[in-house]
Amino acid sequence: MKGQAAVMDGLIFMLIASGAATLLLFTSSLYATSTNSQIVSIYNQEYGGNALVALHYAKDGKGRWFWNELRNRLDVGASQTDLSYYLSDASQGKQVFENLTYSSPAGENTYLCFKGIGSNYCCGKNMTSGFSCLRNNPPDEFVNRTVYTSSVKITSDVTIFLKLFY
Amino acid sequence: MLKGMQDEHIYQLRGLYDMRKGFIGPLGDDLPSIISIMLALGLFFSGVVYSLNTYNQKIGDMELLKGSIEIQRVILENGFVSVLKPKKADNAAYSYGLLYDAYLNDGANSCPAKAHKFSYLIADSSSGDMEMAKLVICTWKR
Repeated sequence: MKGQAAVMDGLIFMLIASGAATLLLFTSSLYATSTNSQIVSIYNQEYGGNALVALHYAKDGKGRWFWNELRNRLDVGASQTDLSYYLSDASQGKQVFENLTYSSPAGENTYLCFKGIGSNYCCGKNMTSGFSCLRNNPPDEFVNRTVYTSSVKITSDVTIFLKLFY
Repeated sequence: MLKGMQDEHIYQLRGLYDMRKGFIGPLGDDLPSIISIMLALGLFFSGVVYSLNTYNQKIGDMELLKGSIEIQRVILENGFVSVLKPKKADNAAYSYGLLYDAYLNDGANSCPAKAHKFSYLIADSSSGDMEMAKLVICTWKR
């Protein structure tokens, strides 16, 4: 009987030790999760801010200022196809947009969105139709994703948003 | 009969009575409980070591990212790149216990294999004209 009691004590000790080890593993897996997500958020905001500053100096394929071209189109209520053509045509703004996705931590899931006079568009690549500009929102595939947004107002009526989807 | 009782008594006196009932020594008798105790201790300390490694790994990764953000802020303090690796960026990296290298565009392929890469789209004025470029900051532990 004495031996059985000792084994039982050992088993109970093992149960307690395994509980403590599980607790340690659990806390270590959760450790710094929110801090890390805040730092990742700061990194994305920094990327967005710097990218918008860089776009300020960008020129399109014809050597025209990228911001000016967008503003000229958005100020007069550009159409969806007009914007889409400008940003996907190699002789116009395609290179600028490719630079954006090439350097972005979100890669191809980087969208440029515009809020102009009577026209809200989001332009970027999506899985179904490749590059396109959609009215109002990015495609449905990004609805439940984490998004980091940076914006700049280039005129009193036109605001540009850079959205990174994860 | 009397002889048998005498033998029994002698065994008890010599402390050998238990041996006849399966007694295998002081250590052997406790072997089952010792195994479970050793298993429990092994499990617990494995958990402690694994957790410490996880903590250190997470803290290290955060320091790399925080350091790269700080270095990037120093490099882009004017809003664009004029000097790719200013002295102040070395100090920022040092304060995070990191080493770093900064590259423009495809130069990032020269990053050491162990380095973490963080990229930014920036305006570069180092060539005279203002141009868009990809800035990659590689950070690794000192």
